[in-house]
Amino acid sequence: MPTLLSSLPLFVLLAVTASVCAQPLPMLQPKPVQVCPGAFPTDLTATDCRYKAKQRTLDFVAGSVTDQAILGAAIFGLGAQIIQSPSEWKRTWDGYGRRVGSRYTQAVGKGAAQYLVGLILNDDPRFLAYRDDPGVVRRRRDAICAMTARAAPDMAAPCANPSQESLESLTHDGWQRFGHAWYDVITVRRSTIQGDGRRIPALSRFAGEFGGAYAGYPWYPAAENTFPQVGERAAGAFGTAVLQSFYTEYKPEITNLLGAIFRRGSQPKSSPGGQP
Amino acid sequence: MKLTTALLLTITLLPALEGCHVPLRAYRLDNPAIIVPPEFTTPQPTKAADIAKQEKPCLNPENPICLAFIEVDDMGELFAKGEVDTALDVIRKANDQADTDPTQAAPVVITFVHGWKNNAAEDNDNVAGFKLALQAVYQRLQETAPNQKHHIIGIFIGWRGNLIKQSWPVAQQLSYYNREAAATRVPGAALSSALTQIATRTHENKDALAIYIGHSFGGLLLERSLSEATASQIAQATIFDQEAKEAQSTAKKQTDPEVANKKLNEAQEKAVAARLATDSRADLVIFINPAGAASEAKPMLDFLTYKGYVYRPGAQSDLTTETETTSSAGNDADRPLFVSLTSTADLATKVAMPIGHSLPDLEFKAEGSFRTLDQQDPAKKYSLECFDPHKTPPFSWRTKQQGAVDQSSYYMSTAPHMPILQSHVMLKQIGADEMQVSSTGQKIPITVKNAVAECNRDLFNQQGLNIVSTFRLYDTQTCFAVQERPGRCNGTPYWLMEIDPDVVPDHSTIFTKRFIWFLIDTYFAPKGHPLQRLSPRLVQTQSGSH
Repeated sequence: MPTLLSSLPLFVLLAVTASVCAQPLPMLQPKPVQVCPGAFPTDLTATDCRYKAKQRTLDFVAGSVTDQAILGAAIFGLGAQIIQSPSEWKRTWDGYGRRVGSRYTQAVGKGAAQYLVGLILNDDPRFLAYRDDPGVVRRRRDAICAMTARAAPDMAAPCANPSQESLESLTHDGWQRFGHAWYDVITVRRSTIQGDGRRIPALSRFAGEFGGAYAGYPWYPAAENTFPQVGERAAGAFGTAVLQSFYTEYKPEITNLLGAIFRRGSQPKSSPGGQP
Repeated sequence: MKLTTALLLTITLLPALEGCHVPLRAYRLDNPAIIVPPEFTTPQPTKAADIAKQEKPCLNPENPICLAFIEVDDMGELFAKGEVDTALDVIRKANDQADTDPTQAAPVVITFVHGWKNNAAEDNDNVAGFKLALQAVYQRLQETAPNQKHHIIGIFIGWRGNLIKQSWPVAQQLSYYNREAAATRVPGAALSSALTQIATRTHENKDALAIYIGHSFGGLLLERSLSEATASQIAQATIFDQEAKEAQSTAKKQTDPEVANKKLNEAQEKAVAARLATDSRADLVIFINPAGAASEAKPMLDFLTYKGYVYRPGAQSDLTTETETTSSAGNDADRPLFVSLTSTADLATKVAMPIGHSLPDLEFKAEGSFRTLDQQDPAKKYSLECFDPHKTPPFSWRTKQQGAVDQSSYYMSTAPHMPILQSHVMLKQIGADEMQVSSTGQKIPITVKNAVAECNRDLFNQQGLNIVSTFRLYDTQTCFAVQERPGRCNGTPYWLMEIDPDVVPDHSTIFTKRFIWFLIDTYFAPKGHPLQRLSPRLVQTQSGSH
């Protein structure tokens, strides 16, 4: 016969799982608004998460063809002019023109390759933070449900839709976020309405990096067009994607840092939903 | 030869650069009022032509939600007068319907002015967002009063907020000054008269609500369109009210019945004139993340301060006979006529706007256009008068040590970001018995039991917190409260405050249920009852009549 002391851990476990799975019980339960991963909670304009052809085309044109690409080429071309890279091009207007031209061509090549491959694969290359990744959220939910099922089989039903607090209780910062930032660079999601498409290798991104690197071929001197040199250019471009992914992951921290500098109110660290 | 080639190349490329402009045009001439279905449907078409095919004209007052468009060009002229007429017609039909059908509630007319990088195009994000917001307001009113049929009318004021196509992102960013100038230039007779007509037509039904909302540069545009007209309307209503009362009092004292009758007629005429002046302005004007400088809001704030106005539209008694109302009146009755809200995380107005204004600020300073507090010459000296009807005495002056700032500071910040102008602060629940001020991070322990759990304004006020209203976040149910800013300078019906990033996370994300619910709970339906227009006039406190 179990004593009170021996059954205490069971009560504690039940209490913990019950609190983890418990939903807030407001008088009037609001209808949930399903928003896209990473979107602000209840954002009415963020319910269709497809990476539509219109958006893909706009991202390609805005990022790789028009003023942003031209400005980027002009600025990075200036940097290359200062360090005289490649050394075959002199520090003259002609040299600067080549540096800008080669960079612009690479930007167009990169964007075009990524656009075409992405269009064929119907992927969604937008980066997501760890806490917003539908795969991570799904795994957390499964873990909560498994815990509940083991501890109190009757409480399995509420775990189909655990509260935000319950999900946040399993938040793992640190290495998992760091790892996710890398994972998000080498994989992309399939474009779906809910934004929870299957992860596939980021073929469009790789194609873009190599497409861009090879687009420099007609410009660069022969010595710069060896395979290792092209690989180096592709790796450099890949570094930009890595930076973007890390910025997405650590945006709250970066914003808070900037906020501290500009003396503004703090941002929620892990979730935009104000948790008590 | 090289020069000729470069020249030819440049000439060839110039038309391509011209192609980056969004053409100046009206988008809604064919269909100036459309039906908005009461329910969300996903997915929505994304191409403008497909959206246009879906849109049906709003001809029947039976439709619970209608959206009308009024478009102005880059010079502030209406594209078509017919658009205003259509909007007024939609309002009139809704009012007629409410008159004849007792189950039909008075219409709520919400006018929205969009901001930078937007326009009235079918596929514009703000148009889509406003439609969704109207649906959300309708659903909320249905939930609040399910036995009544509700009618929501949206009016979208379109202007050329988007000068450069999205495909030219750098040029689009650089259009800041250009569009700020447009938002300053566009307000004028055309827009002011359209807004006045909207309010007047709405108030043909005495219970109908006219609410104006401006976002970002739309806030600047709306403020410029309204300030002059609203100040005049308030001033007129006040003077007519005073004259009506004087005439009434003279009539009472008269022994000659003919003179007494004449005076009574005069009193009636003046009272009608006062009502008409009141009916021609909105019941509530909301600026969301406004991108205009605080110097745009300051003259209106000064006007309300010097005259010591309070606004108690829901009060049961006829306040026109109670100009003595001062600090003894219940704080509950005070409502805003203007509300200016900005997110603490809105970097566009907090960081980018001051950067954008820094060069013109230097220019103004060089020209000696600003007044300063420490100026010795009284003819040039700048000062700050404060008014809080809940303080005794309600009027006071602030020194530099007490937070008053030079005139240039009002040019370098938006109004709700300025602590000295803030009338309220937002409190957020951070624990079972602790709240936090969103704008400063200051923590407030709550000693009254269940105040936080029940999110109950009266319980909070047992602790003397001066909470005006409370609300729960739509999805997480976190408790929030709006508190009168302690030691505030601004106690006028022009409410200014910073709001929490959990309610509005940045400059543009405003069409969320969290924010819409907050607006409804705090301003449209305080204490769970729809905003009422029992006494929509502003009242001067006695000491303010100087």
